[in-house]
This record gives sequence, C-alpha cells and structure tokens, in this order.
Amino acid sequence: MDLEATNKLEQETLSCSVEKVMVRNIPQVTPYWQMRHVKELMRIRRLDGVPITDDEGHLLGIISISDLIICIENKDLEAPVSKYMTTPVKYLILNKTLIEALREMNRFKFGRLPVVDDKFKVIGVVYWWSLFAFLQEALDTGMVVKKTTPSEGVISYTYQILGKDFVHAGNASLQMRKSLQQLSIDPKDLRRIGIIAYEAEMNIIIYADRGSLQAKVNSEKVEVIAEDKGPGIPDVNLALQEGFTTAPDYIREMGFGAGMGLPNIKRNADIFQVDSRVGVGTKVYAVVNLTRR
Amino acid sequence: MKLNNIINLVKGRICVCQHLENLDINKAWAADLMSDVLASPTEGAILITSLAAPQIVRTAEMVGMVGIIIVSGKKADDTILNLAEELGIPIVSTDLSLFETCGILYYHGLRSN
Repeated sequence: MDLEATNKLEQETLSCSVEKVMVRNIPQVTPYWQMRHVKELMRIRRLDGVPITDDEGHLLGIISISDLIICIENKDLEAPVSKYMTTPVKYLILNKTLIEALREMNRFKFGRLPVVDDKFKVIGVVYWWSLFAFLQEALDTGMVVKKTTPSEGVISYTYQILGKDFVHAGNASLQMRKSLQQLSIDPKDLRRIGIIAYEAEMNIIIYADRGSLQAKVNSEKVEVIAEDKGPGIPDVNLALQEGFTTAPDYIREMGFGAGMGLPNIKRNADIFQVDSRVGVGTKVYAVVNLTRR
Repeated sequence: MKLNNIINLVKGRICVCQHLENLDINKAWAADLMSDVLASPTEGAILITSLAAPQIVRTAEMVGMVGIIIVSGKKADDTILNLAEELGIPIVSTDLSLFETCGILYYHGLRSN
C-alpha cells in the first residue's frame, strides 16, 4: 500500500468517533434480571457481553461470557445479575476515537467496551467484531494501490477483490471508474472500460476465492487486467457463448450470472484475451483504445 | 419528460435525491438482469427494474444511467439508498408492476433510444 492510501486510513478511519463502530439497540439489562435471561439474550443475539444499567440506563457493570461461565459452573442461573456482574467496568465516552477504543481494548484485553454519553448512560457497545467489520470495510475501500511510472507515462490502479463478497460487489469497478474519470477520459470510453471492469469483478466475486482488478492507463489506451485464484474455466470457448452459465440461482437474484459476462467484456474491448487454468485461476486481459480528444 | 412527471404517471414516490425531480429524462430501459443493462445502449436512460439490490445503483452509475425506478413495491434498503444518494442517482419507488410501469411510460412517449 502506498503512502497516500495508508494516510487515508489513519486520518479518516482511525480518528472517527466510536459511535461509528458501536452496536446500538443493546437491550437494557438491570441488576435484578435473572442470569438465565441474560444467558438467553446473549445466546440469541450472539453477544459475548452485555452492559448492566440501572432503570435510567446509567452504566453499572457488565456481564461477559466469563461471568456467565462462573454462574453456570455454580448451577446458579436463577441468581440475579447483580451477583455475577463485573463492576466497576471499563467504558468509553462517546467522543473517544476509534484508535483510543482499539488501544483500550488491547491494553485490558477486553473484547467489548460499553459506550456512555456525558450523563453516563449507555448508548451502545463496541465489540471486537464490530471493530473488525468496520476496519475490514475501511481496508477494502482503501485497498487501492496506486503506482506511477512517469518515464513511461503509465498510471496503474489495482483493487483487491474477495470472492463471495457480494456486499461490496461492484465497488472496485466504481472506484476504478472514479479514478479514471479524473484523467478526463472520453465518457464513451469510460463506459466501455466500466462495463469490462464490472463484469470481470462480478466473475471474480461469483467464482473465485480472491483476485485483483487492475487498470493501466497511458495516453493511448487503458488495459484492464482481472486476475483471480479460483477454479478456472474448463472450456473458454463455451464460456464465451452468450447465455452459457454455471452460476447458481442466488447469483441471478442479484441480476448477474446470465452468461453474459465474458461476451460483454469481449464486445467492449479492442483487444481481449482469457487465460485460464483449471484449479489455478483465470486472467482476463482487455484493452480499450482511447478516443483522441 | 421531467422526472416529476414520471413519478406522477407511475404513482410513485422519490426516495433519494429529491432535488433532482426536475431532471429531464429522455429514455428508459427495463431489465432485471444487470448484464443486460451493461450490454445495452442504456447511457442517459432511467432504469426500470424489479431488482432491489445495491448492484442496480452501481450498474446504473457504471453505464451513466440517470435514475432508477424500482417497481412492484420492492423495498430499497439503506445500503441502496445511501449509495444512490452518494452517487446522485434518484430512486423512485412504485407499487405498479414492471409491465404496467413500462406500458404507462411508453404510452406517454418515453422510448428506449
């Protein structure tokens, strides 16, 4: 990752408020609840800890998995929460940043920290997994490696793509399009490049474990290179037939997998190549010659 | 035809980018298959679809489409709406079916090219 991308992650991501990573709508649990009910709550919501508050929502303590284990060992599930909750409890104030949350959690080896407002009322919980999810998302969108080779006048953008990551499907191509847009490429060319990138990205997401999407730009052409580690294509000619598909139904529910991917790429490219090895992966190479402006 | 007109004709409502309701729409394309959208002359058109997935917004942006009508009362979730807001693509929701929506707009002069 180059300097630009690293800085972006530090400044924008790590200094944002814990509000962005905390889980809200945690049910209010009071000390006179029975442990049995807390156990059920944690099981159903898959929480590894819940903050305990008074009736007004002020933070009193926490029940974590380890508190629960002690209670279960004692066969004491009818006991009130007050008997087993950990108190006093570490917490975060709302205006803390994400990096402060990370430090606190790492320092105390806590998997979760309640977040309180200025009146000490619980408004959410930062869980290790909510932090993880947030950071992964930030990394995904920040995962652009930008390289410039001024001597050859080539700019290259690379985007990492995770297989089966349907939530972000299309993100890499969109980012690529945005970057290319800044290079004042003709809209017609941009459209062709976008279609190639999008279809190639969808192919990686649908079929492969992981891959990358790269655009190499010079004044005459844009090369789009999509490479993946995946099952490979046994018969490339068959895959190039419109309507031929091996995609499962749930892919079709997203509007893809109709057997138009590779044909669509081919149609929009001036040069088009597919190299595929079964059990190893696939590389799609497409060139769009730029319209002179 | 103004987007506002379209909204009235299909008895729809605009979910994001309300400020674009005076946008001029000159063509439309209907598809549930995003590959079809990518493969067709859809630039500058409004997309009519019964698919309610983030892919509709990304696809529309990718090919330079100017708006989206989601038919059959399908609900666009926050991911879709936030993405559309960010990219400045208005989303209209209607309870009419894909067939009815296309029929009405065609009758009132909207074409695919």
